[in-house]
Amino acid sequence: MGNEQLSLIASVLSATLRMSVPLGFAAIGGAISERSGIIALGLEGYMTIGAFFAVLGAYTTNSAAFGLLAGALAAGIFALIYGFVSIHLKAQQTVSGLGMNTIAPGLVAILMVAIFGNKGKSALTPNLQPIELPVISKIPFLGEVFSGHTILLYAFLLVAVLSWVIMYKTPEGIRLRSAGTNPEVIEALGLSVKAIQYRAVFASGILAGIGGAYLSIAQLNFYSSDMVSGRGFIAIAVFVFAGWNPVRCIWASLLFGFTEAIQMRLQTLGMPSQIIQMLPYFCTLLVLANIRTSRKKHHIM
Amino acid sequence: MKIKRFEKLAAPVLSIIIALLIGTAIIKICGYHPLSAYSALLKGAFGSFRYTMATLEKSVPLILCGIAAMVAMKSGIFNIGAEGQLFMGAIGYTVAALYLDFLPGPLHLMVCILVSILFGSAWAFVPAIMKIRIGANEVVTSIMLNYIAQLFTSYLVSGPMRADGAVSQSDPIPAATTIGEIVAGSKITWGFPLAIVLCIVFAVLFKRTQLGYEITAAGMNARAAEAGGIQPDRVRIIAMMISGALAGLAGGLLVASTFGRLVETVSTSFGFDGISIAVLGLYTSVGVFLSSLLFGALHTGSLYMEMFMKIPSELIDVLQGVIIVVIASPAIFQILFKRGGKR
Repeated sequence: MGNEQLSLIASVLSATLRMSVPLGFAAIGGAISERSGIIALGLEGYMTIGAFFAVLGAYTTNSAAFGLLAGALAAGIFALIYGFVSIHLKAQQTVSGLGMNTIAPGLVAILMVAIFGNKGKSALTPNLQPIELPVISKIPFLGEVFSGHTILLYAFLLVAVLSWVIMYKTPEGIRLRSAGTNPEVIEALGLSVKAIQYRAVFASGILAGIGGAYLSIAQLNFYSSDMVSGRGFIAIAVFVFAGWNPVRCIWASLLFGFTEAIQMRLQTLGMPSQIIQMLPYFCTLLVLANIRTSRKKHHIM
Repeated sequence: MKIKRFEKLAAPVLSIIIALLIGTAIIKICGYHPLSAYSALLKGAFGSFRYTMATLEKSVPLILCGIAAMVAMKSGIFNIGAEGQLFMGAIGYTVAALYLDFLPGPLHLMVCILVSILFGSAWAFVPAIMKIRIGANEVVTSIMLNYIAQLFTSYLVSGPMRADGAVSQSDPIPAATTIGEIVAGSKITWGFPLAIVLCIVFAVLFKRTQLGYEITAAGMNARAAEAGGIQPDRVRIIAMMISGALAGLAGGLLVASTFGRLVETVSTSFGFDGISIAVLGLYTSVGVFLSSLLFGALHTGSLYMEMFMKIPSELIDVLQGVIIVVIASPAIFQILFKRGGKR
C-alpha cells in the first residue's frame, strides 16, 4: 500500500474516533436512563442544550473548560425537567420526550438571537485543544489515528468503562437496574425508586450534554443550528445496538462514527454516501429483530 | 356527561394556556413585547384572506399525520414512524408520477395517490410486524426506518432521480398529477377538503364500524378484547397500516400540491407533529382537526412574527413542545383540579 492510501485510512479512522465521541456520550447517558426505567427519547434535546450552553459558557468566561461544565450542567437541568414530568407527573414518556426535543432547539434559537444576534451561528469561542500523545504521536500511522484528539475522546472511553463498572459491579448499579426491572424490590428495601430515576436522568442529561458540547467546543469553536441534526436519535440506535451496555456503546458508536466518517470521503469520490449511511440503521434493525421479548420485557425500548 | 366532557376539554385548553404563559415569560426575558408578539402571530395566521388560506393549507399534512398517529395510538401501538412513511409516500407518488406517465390523466393521478398510500402502508407494516412477531419496540424500529426513508429520499434526489441543475431534487411531476388550487390564487388546494373528508371518515369509523370498535378495544384492554373474540395483534397491524397509509398520503399530497417534485425536505417533522396533534386532540377526529389548525396557524403566524417583529419563529417550537409535555402529563391536571377546589 502506498503512503497516500495509508494516510487516507489513517484520516478516516481518526475521523471515526472523532465522530463516535458525541454519539458515545449520549448513548451511555441514554442507556443509564433506560436502565432505570425512563425512556431516553430526549437525547436530541439534551445534546442541543449542551452544545449551545457550552458555547455560551465558553464565550462568557473565555474558558473552554467552563464552557464544557456549563453545557453539561444545563443539559442535566434540562433533563431533570423531563425527569420531573416523567417521574412525578407520570407523563407518557414517548410524547413528552418528543416535546423536550421540540423545546430545546426552539429555546436555543431564541437565546441565539437574543445573545448572538442571529439564530444560525454563534460568535467564536475558545475551544478544547487537541492533545498530542507523547510517544504515539511520533509513530507514523498510529500517531495520525490516535493522537491529536481532545481530552473528551479519552474521557469517553473512561466514562464507558466506569459506567459499566458502576452498572454491573456496584450496589448503586444493582439498584439502578432494579429500578427499571423490579421497582417493587427497591421499594421493599425502603429505597426510593424516584430518587434513583432522578439520578439516572440527571446523569443522562450531563452525558448527552457533554456529547453536545463536544460538537460545539471541541470539534469546532462555535454553535450552529444544524449541529446536532439527529445525533440524539442516532445515539438511541447506538445504545439499543449495544444492548444497553456502556462498554459495548464504545463499539457501537465506533461503527456509527465510521459510517459518518467514510461518508464524507465517499462524497468526494462521487459515490452514493446515503446507502452507506443507511447501514448502521439496518444493522440496528437486525439486532432488534434478534432481541427476544422475554429477555428485554422490562426495557421499555 | 357534560361535566366530564368539560373536564376533558380542560386539559388541552390548560396546556395551551400554560404554553402561552411560558412563552410570555421567554419573550419578556429576551426583551420583546409579549402582546405584540402574540398579536403578530395571530395576524400572520389569520390576518388576511391569504394568510388564512396559507394556514389551512399548512394544516393538511398535519391533519393527515394527526389522524395517522391517532389510529395507531388508539389500537395501542405507537407510530413514531409517520415521518418515514411520509417520505416513502412522497417517493411513491413521485415515482408513479414520473415513470407511469403513459397513463391517461385522471387515472394517472389516482394511481399516484394509490402508490403513495401503498408505500406508506408498507413502510408501517415493518415495525408493526416486528413488534407483534418478535416484540421489537416499535419506537426504536420506527426511528431507524425514518432515517432509512429520509436517506433513501436524499439518495434518489441526488442520484438516480436527480434533475439537471444545482439543487438536489427530482424533475417536476407532470401537470396531470399535480393537485392545484381550488380557486386560482386562493393558495388552498384540494388537499384541504380531502383532509376534512378523511376526518369525517375516521370519526364515523370509530363511532360506527366494527373495525373502529375493534381498534379501540385492542388499545384499551387487549386481553378483554381477546376474550371478546377480537385478535388484538391482527387489529394493531391493520391500524398501523392504516396509519402508514395516511402518512404516505400526506407525503404524496406534499409532492402533488406543495412541491410539485420530490425534494430532500418533503417533511419538516410533520410526522412527529402528528403525534402531538393526536394527543392534544384527545384522539378524536374533531380534536385532530382543531389541533392541526392551531399548529398550522402557529407555523404560518411565526413567519410573519419573525419578519415584522424580529422574534425568532422558533418561539412556536417552544410553545408546541410545552403544550405536548403538559398534555402528556395527566397528573398535572389532577393536581390542578384537586387544588382548584372542585368540592
